[in-house]
Amino acid sequence: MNIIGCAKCILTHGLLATGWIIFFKLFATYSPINIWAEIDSLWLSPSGENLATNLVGELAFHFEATSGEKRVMYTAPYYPDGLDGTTQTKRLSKTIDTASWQKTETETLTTTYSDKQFKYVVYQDSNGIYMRIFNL
Amino acid sequence: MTTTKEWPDAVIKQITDSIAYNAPTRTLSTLLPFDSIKFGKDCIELHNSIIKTLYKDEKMKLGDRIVGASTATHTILKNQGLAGDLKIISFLTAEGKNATGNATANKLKESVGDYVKKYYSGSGVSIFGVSALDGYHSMLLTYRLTSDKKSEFMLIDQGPATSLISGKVIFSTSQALDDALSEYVRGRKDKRTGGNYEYPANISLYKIYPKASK
Repeated sequence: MNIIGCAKCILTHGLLATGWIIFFKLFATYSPINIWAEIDSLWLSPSGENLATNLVGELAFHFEATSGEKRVMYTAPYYPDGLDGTTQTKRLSKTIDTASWQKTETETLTTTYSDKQFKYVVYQDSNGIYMRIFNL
Repeated sequence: MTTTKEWPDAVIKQITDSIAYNAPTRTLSTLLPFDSIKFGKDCIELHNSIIKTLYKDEKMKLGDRIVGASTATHTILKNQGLAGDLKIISFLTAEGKNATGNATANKLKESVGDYVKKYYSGSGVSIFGVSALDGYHSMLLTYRLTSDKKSEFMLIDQGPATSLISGKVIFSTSQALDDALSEYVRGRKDKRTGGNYEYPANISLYKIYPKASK
């Protein structure tokens, strides 16, 4: 196969793959269930209050809202100076201390967990289910 | 107390310029096959960001929710004399009874649009923070009279669920605004809080004031 043939092949398969990704993402966005979370959940084993590990031992936060909506998170934004400051992304497996991990508060919009160093606030609002990490 | 303090007309351009890329970016990011990555600001981040733009103070400390806590943006602004009282408008059920939660909320009990007009001085731009379902969703609402003296409400959020790709929706009557807010709440009747309770069925709003000139 010459170079042009190879490039055409890569382009065709690339476009097809992109098309499928967009199709599944749109399907997932407008479906009442979170398809990605459902698929992710298949490989998880519970390991604490809303915590689970996947097949390779990566720690995840696994949250299922009472409406049935699910989220599996491996990373979350960390706000070292509060919400108005800078943001870093933290890998939960490197951040959560499972020994001191506990649910500390449930409010209308938020469920808060903490360990010995951080506060993990899980929001349920118009943006869906998401987590923000703050210093204790 | 809520009073008739308005912003200059130029704030409309300031606001629309500041949100121009947020909703398109947010919409595009929903197409990515990763839930953890979202580009653009979410509803409270956008709400706070517009307020910082209005006051030209990027370091201003605001809340992680719009209403309902001592750390809410409304409380913080009110404590600085930059916001009026919180007006909470509840909902009626389809049978015309008071709705206790979002599961049965059907229609606003009072008009949000009429409340906004009541505190409008007649010139300039009125700006309100608007919360749906006790902070579940945060929006910003502007009101002004156009050059031909017609009402113009502009509701701003992160899109795409409520304001599609532009991040803003314009209404020319109180009724149209009220209908859109009622529709928003009706469309979320299956949502529940972390404790498996219904969200309080309400739209709450507060007026945001310009800083008094020195």
